[in-house]
Amino acid sequence: MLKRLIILSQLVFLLSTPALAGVTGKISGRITDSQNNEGLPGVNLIVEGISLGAATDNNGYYIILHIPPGIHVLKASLIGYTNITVSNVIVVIEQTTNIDINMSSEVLGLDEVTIMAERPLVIKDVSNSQLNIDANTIETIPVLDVTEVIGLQAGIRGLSIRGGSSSQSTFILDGIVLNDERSNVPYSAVSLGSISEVQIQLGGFNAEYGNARSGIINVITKDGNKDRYSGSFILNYEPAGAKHFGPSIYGNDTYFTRPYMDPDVSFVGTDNGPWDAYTRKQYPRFEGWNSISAATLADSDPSNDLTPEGAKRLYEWQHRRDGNIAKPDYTLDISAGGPVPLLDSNLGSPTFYASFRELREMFIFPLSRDSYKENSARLKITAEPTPDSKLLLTASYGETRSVSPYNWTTTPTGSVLRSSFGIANLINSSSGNSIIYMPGWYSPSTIYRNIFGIKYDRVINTKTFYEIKLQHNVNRYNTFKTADRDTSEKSKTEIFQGVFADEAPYGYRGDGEGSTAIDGMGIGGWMNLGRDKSTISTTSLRFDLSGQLNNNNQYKTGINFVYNDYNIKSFTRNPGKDTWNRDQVYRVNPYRLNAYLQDKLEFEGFIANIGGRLDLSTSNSDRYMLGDYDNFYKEGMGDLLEEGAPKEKSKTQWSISPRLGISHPISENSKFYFNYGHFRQEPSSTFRFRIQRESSGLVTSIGNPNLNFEKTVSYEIGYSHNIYDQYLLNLGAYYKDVTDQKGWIYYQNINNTVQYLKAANNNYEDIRGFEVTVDKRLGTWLTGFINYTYMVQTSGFFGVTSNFQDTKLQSEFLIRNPKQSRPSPRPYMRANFDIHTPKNWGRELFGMYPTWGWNVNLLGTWEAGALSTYNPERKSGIVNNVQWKDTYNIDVRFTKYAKIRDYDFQFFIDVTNFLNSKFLSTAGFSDNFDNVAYLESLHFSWEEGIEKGNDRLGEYREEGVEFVPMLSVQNFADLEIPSRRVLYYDLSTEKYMQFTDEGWIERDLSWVNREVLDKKAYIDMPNFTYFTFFNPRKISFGLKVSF
Amino acid sequence: MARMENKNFIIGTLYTLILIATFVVGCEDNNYPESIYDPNDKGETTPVITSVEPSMGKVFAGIDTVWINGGNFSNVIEDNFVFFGGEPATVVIATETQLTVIAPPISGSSILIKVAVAGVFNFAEFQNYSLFESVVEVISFGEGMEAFALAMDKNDTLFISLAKPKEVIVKLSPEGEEILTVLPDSTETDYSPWTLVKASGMKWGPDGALYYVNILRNLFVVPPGGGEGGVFMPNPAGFPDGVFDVDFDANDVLFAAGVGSAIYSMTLDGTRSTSAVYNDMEFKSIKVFNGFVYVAGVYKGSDPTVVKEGIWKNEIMPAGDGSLGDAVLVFDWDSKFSSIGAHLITMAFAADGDIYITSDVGDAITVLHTDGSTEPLYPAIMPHQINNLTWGSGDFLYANRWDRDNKKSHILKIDIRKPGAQYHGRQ
Repeated sequence: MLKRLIILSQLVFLLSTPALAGVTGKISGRITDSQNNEGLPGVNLIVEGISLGAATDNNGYYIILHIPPGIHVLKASLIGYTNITVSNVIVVIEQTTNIDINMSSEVLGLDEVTIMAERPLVIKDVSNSQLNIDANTIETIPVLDVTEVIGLQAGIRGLSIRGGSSSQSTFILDGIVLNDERSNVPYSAVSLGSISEVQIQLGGFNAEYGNARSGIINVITKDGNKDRYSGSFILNYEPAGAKHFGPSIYGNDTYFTRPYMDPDVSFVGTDNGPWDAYTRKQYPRFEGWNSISAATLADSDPSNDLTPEGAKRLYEWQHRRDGNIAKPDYTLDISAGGPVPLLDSNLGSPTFYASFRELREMFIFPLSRDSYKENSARLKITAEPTPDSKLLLTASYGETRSVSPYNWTTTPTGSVLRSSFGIANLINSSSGNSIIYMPGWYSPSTIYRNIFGIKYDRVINTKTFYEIKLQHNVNRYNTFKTADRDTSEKSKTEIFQGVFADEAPYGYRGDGEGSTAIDGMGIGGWMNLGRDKSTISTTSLRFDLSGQLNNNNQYKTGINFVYNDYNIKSFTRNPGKDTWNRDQVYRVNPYRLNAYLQDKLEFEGFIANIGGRLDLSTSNSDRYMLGDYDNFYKEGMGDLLEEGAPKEKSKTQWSISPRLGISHPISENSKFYFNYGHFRQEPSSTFRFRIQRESSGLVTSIGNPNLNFEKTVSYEIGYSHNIYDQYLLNLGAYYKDVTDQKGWIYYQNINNTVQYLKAANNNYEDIRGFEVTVDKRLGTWLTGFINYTYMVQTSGFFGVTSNFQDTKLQSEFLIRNPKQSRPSPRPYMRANFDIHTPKNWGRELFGMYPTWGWNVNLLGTWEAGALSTYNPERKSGIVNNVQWKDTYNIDVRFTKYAKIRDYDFQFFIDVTNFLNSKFLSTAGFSDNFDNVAYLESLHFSWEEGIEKGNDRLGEYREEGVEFVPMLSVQNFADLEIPSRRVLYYDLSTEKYMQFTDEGWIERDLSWVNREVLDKKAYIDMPNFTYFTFFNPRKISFGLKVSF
Repeated sequence: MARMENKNFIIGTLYTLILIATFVVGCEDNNYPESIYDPNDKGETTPVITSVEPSMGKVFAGIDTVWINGGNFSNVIEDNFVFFGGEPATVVIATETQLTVIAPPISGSSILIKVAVAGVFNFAEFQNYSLFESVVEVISFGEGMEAFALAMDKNDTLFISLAKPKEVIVKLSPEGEEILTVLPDSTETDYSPWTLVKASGMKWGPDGALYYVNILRNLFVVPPGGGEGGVFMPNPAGFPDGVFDVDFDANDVLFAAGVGSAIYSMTLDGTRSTSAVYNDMEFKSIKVFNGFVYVAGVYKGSDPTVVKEGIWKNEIMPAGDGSLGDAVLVFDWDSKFSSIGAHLITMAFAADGDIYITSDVGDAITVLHTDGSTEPLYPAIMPHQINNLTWGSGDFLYANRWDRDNKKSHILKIDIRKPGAQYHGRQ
């Protein structure tokens, strides 16, 4: 047991004192006399280092509130009794740590006895699904981002918790809410090295938390030590390399380039060269450089005359972009803290903790920027002006630099591109290769965030304290056009003798006119129209009062006022044309007021969290009172909305949300819990305030400031069990009834002069699922966890999502669009095994243990393949009849710890996709025809004849295996022009036949199995070979230095 | 000491990890290509043109062979690209120093010749070459206006029987401008504002009148100087059968032929004779050349020994009264062109005896040489469906083409590079 406790203490990383002014927990218990086991009154208990304490009551009970999370030392003293020091007292956010002490009289002859607290695996007072992850656990897992840590837990994908989008969760850093109120998306750029603890609440959470429906993420960062300086430096470096399998996107044999570069066809055209029909299907058609050359000579402009080779040369120049990734990805994470220099203890012994984090992730191919880049700097100052008060000041600044995914439309959410799939999926055969070769096709976008918070909390007496918090967040968006194209003569490049070309496709050319390269690639005119110059400021003032009424009741109440300033300037600009100029410009100042009251009842065998919450919200704006097909929506009228349209002040929304959580410890090793709650959230700003108009005045979308709160009613039951003091089993099942979710409803009048989207609370969801987690937190050689999630999500609409004044169109729409989606559950599982060598293990060598400090961490994920519908014959009732292959992945981190003087070194190598597994991506399909060709080539179980098989979506033909289509024919001899590529199945003779240079030959079944079926040679692979499989195995190096 | 060893161990471990990782990363290297644009690529050597032949005389666009002399051409025909003023020329023979090409259908006196060779960025150029048009469209009539017989006077003024839709005869300058007749009251009118019927054959007579026929049996005439057309009054009864075409001989005797299996003659005093009789023959065209009357016709009978379609000739007897000798087969059209379903339509004679025969299928105009051989006339550029021919005073053959698709009549001026046969009757 002692060994386990030592290991536990090692696991908890605590270089500095945890947050003094963060979300807190409490210690309670009973002090008894060892001789008669009766409660000892008047025992003094002090939490070392933080000036908090209490005395036992007449029955020996004590409670110490408002203790920052972390590991503490508790001291108990009473005259006549030996002092007791309890070390390793772990306090967790909002939880009660029970420490019972048995004191002996001094006659035993000892001055002080030190004991080590043992934290039970089953936390009795937690009545919901809740996870607490400490810094030490985080540092062993092969992740570089706090969101990745969170996303590994059962029920969570990214920051999406139990089927709710990330905007339904609140991300709180040291008590400061980091969600961007524009769309309520959490901003989670936190220095990993500064994190002390992360708590995630998935199920019903307490009434103190509002404007969230799915989960609460509390991140507590370290505080500076009062006596010394400490910190850490983390660098992770991933050498430059492709982020996809297959050939280069910029090679000369890609979908877009091969017809223009392959000597077999590039001059004579794809229809005339030696390509067979199946090869031609994989690429765009090209008439050939000879034809292009002739066309340049045939026109009336002799200055553009090009030889075939000259035309190809110009093509090469216009496609000269070498976007192969040449820069590394990296994450730099620096944090340091300690006493604030030059300030003495009269000012409350202020300490600081500063952190800086910067990461760069190269895009799969460059756009107007070549990477996603994020940096954030944060300064946190804590002080204790008086012994009973604490002050926290935080200021942070962050930048997110990327590229907007919006080209033709406004940027209502400020989302930016990052993932390989997200970027690759921008391209299809219609969008063409402009996106690849033209840096300015999508606008660069930067989001600047300033967050300032001040929090003051004061202990009124040993059982009561309050907190006052003021926070001001400013989020500024800047989506802008790239620099203009330089078309001046002096800037041109002589691409061959006497022929000069400007810098196209580089540079912005937005004169509104289409501009094309020699191959027809768009190189200007309609590029990066989206702009965003919005600023969203959020100011909130919050007061919380907590107290312990008696040994069984801990109350908490508070009030919160949030004031927003939405200065939205989102629009598209097409410099040369009247069209595609859309505005989404408005300024509103909504605010909300919330109050709550909650009580934590703690009895032996029964712990309950009961509370209620009042939410008041006003849009503080006008609502236009217009008919569904009002003239004000029409061209020439929409601009008159503000002045001419009838309007009324928006209404104040209010609601009361009950919360209840019950934990019932069944034994010391198990508990049952249940929770129920109503959770409400303001619809994001764009749904309440958006007025989007074309330059003609035509209204294309309009928000509704009177939208109701979005509502989730959540039910959860769970069971936790300690197995042999080694494993913690958690079972949780939940049901969420989601109503009043925001959505857009389309309106179109009879003559199409009115066409717009209007916001409404018309969306609902039913989400149910269960989760199983087995956690092994203690272990000499092995720790880790396994979790499994099963979730079913059904969504639909109240009413209709499109209204057509034309009844015929309306009935057609209703036939095509069912109101409710068919659920497609995708269970998933995550497993993490940390294999490590124990301290001082192995032989001592030159005064050290070389075999100590080695660590291998395996992180495995599995997810069932999604269901999909493939219904080529359009039979009624066919839904979800095919399934994608399951996906899985293993990431590994190899770590070696070392210690030199006061420095802890940690060298690590991360290997992502350790197995180098390939999973087919839909981004590889050049268009729907390509997708259909792939689907048709698969052999599904419900198919007949030679097409019958056991394929699932995602099956693929390996690179290097030649495509062999399989085709049934009535009689192969009747084929006039047989293909040498096809394996024919002759229905009349039931034989496989192939046409070769020697004529027809029969292929026996073993050959067919070996060469075609086993190799999946019959699969018509996606045309974008470079976007078919992402994320090949990558190796990055890391170094962490702590002091 | 221990601290130093500790440090060495850490550094050693670090190096080991880096080495392992570098090795693995090296294995992952995809060795991707750099940009597809190579700034150092200069291409192959640019070809040069030193001379182009023929350097003098008329070189017909779309017809004639041109020799381009120079260097750095390709021996492979397909690797050479020759353009005359932007129009691609067909390369028929290629050596490194000479390209033999068929001039493309483009004309002008300052044509820029460009030659591209595979693998070469720049063109070889040759300035100011001349190509001439062998076929020029004189006029294209609008929809609803259909042209029929042509006749040309000694001044190269073209007269066209035209359904406008009212049947008229219009007078055109050699450039295609209509020349209107000014009446005494100063009003302007067509050369013949009313012709009673449209003409399938039309000839100038020695009296300055314009004679014409169609499927009707009458001979029609427009008086000298123009005016309304009418039946040739000296013999209003005309011919026994319908006739398609007429021609004068050196004795001012008019010969006519049509559906009646006979060649008729008529003098200007109205005397009509049957000059020659064929069996079951329908004639399409009749021409007088070098003392013979030539007829092109189709045999309608069932005798397999008779040539089904061809050209025959009858010698004009010295009496000068329209009497003719026996028929002699000149050319068996059927045996040569029936396989492609081609039928002859009309014919015209060059001064050297070559006969220019138009047909509905295959080559638009076939040249029948005096030695019996045939060749197509300008097959690359000659449009189809030429229904009527007449020779001007020079080397130009005028043709009336009916564009079946667009239902329009076009008058073409074809440079034959030799004069037509003598035009009897025209004064």
